[in-house]
Amino acid sequence: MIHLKKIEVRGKAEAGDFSGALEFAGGLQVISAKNAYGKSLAVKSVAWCLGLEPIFGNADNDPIRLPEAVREDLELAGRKSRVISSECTVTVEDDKGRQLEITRAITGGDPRLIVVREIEPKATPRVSKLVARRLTMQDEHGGFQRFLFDWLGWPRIEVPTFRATGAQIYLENLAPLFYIDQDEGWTNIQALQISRYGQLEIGEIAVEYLLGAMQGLKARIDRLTANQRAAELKESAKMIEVQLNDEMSRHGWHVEWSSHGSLVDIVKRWSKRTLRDVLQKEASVDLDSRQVDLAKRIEVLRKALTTEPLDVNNVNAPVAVSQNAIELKKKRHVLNQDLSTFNSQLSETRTLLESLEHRIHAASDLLRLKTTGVGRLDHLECPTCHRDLNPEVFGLTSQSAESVGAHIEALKSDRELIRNNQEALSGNVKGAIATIAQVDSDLRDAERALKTVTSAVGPVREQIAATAAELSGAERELDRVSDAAKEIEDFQSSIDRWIADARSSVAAAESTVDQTGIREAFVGALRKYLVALGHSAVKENNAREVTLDEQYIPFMNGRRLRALGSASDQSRLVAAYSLALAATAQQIDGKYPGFLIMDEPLQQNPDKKHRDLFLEFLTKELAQKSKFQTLVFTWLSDAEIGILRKQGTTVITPPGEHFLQLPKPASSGKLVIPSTAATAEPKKLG
Amino acid sequence: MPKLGQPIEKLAGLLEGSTATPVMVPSRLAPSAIYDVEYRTAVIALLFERFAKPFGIAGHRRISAAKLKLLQFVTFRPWLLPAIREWSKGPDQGSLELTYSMRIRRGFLSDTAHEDVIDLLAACGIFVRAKNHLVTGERAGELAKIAASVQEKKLFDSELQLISKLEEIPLTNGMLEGW
Repeated sequence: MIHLKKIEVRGKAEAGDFSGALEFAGGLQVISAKNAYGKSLAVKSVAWCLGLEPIFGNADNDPIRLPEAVREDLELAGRKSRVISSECTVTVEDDKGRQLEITRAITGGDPRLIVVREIEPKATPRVSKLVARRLTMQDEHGGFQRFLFDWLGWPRIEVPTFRATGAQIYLENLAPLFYIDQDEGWTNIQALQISRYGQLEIGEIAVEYLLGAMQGLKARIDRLTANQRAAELKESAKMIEVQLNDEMSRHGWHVEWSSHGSLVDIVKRWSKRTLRDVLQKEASVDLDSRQVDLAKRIEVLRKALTTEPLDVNNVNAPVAVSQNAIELKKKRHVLNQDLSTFNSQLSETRTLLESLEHRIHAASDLLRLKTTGVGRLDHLECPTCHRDLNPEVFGLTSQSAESVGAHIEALKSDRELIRNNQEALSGNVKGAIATIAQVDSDLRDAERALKTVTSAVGPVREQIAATAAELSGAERELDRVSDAAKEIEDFQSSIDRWIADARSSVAAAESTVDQTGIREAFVGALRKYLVALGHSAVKENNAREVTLDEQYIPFMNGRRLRALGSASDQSRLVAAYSLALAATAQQIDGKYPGFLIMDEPLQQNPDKKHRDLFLEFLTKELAQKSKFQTLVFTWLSDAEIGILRKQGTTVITPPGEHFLQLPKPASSGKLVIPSTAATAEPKKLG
Repeated sequence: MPKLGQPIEKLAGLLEGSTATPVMVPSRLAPSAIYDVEYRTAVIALLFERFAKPFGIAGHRRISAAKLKLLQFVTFRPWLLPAIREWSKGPDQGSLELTYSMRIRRGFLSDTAHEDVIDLLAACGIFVRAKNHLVTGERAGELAKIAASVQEKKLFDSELQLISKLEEIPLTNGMLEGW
């Protein structure tokens, strides 16, 4: 874990150089300074140095969130002065004494870059220039977040998004849980969480990451990825269905291979029967038997051609070959007639479907007319006698909205039927075309055979020619059946792969990890902090009723805690949640950075009662003895400071009227940056 | 709806003695939108807006009654558009172009619902019949209002698209004969 050691802002204005610094120790620190002192500048400098501008909705590298005093004009000693350049530095230190100085230009420099100075005990400091925002996590050598995560020993984790592009857990996803901004941060837990990256369940993921619940996090990400994969698998199942049905139609086989229903339904249905089973049962096509039969027939024909004796008196060969050609021609004619009928029916069906679409559209518009009154005649009356005119007298009806609605439903039902009909007809057309192509091919063979047989001299040659033609046809048929069997095998392989993918996806979607221990630790800490902060709905005697749901949202007795208590409890809930997260992470070795910044918590409920409640919390052991750093930026009266200090709470009161000051020349002639170290309690700051 | 329900109830009564179980499906009893007077009025308003021409010096507009009848007939039935286009292209504009002219002519001549709507609109003072034409009446502004509001709210946009296509098809006197 790390803690913030120092915040510095410096720059050059027309009036001269200016600077300001705040130094901190570990544990609870209250920084008290009056309004307009520059506390916000100090707090926002932390966000700027860490490249967190997206949480405020600002564009990358845009320092607009920082006060004008460091961007445009600085008012020093009652005089406005244009800022020429400015930058800020945040120094953090980890438990091993390693320090990191993070510096980023605000104006007059390149805000896209972050200069990082690594200081390790007994080692020469190392300086790197890193990119603040662009590919900050992806850039292995130049990305600031990539560097920071590595330095902190935080794992980089891919998270699924709503979009096709992937994303990771970024620092700005975690910051809303350790950086409570004064403007929006107090409105809700993770109020500054970024949603525009499209990361799924990022709020829950951020909590689990900071708690170090890596197994649970992995299970969540696996589940989210599986859910996305399920949508892709549904699409691919549809594609398999379409391709398979096309292929079946091409062969003239009618089978039912549907991709409707849920992933589990499809897996169940598709794994119940193989394609060969379906072909055999629904289209009476047994490819194995056909291959065997054809192979036998080829064998017989070969024997007949090579070794079997021939009947010299048999003159039927030309007749049989001729008859075969005639049969095929007849078959083709019938098939062409069928195809013509199917095409004509398909065309009519398409027209009917178009007409139905138009009628549904017209009826829907009419329903809008009926319900909104747009396009209606205001009043039907005779212009002469001013009597109301009833359309029924003219044989006309004005339908009710319900009637039009019912008509639309009927039309939609018809449309569904016609669509099914259209699909069936399309299948018939494809089947007929495939069969005609097959018959055409057979006919060409038969005509060639007929030509050969009729040109043969003598019955023996005629028989040999006929047998040879028949053998050739059988061999081609065997090739075709073998190809079809191969296609079926390929489809079956695709289906098997799909089933395996779908099964693993379904299993991943159902995977859960028992996180009871971590969750209990977090909710236990949350209860303690809620009571200590004085949440009006959570007391010592009912704190056990506070629970966390799957999304880590606090509930109490089945209601969101956010909806309980008074409006002033909102900020207490936010504070308790972040403090509890920090404390739990500390306890179970999580990934919480080790510091929590609370900017102006007292401004959320400025009346005395609520101020006293918060100040009381700051004097409690729970707040004071935390092992993580809590920085509270606020303004306290002298009396309040006195009370807190008396109770042992560290209160830093920075010197001067403003955070930014002109440096005073030291005796050596070097500039000395004004620091809080001298004015805070030295014994507590160490 | 109740009116339509009565014959079904009668039928149910007749079937009472048999083993048949009458089932009433309300959506199947709902009449087509094409028989709704408001739908027809809105379409007539759109057609009149596009096709009527200025008439006289008092700011009146008029349209051939037969032309309006044919136009609205096709507007309600967009699948007839190719037929009317071919009919319009025919060498003698229809008299011998049996394939297309007969089908459409037979349909639109017997479209009595249109005549009923025109009668109603004439009774309301929206139209005045002037020989073979319909001329704007004293309350014709109501029709213009309907056309404007329908277009503003993008109602009946498929009908409007069809009307735009109809503007490109010349409708000759030959096509309008015999109505």
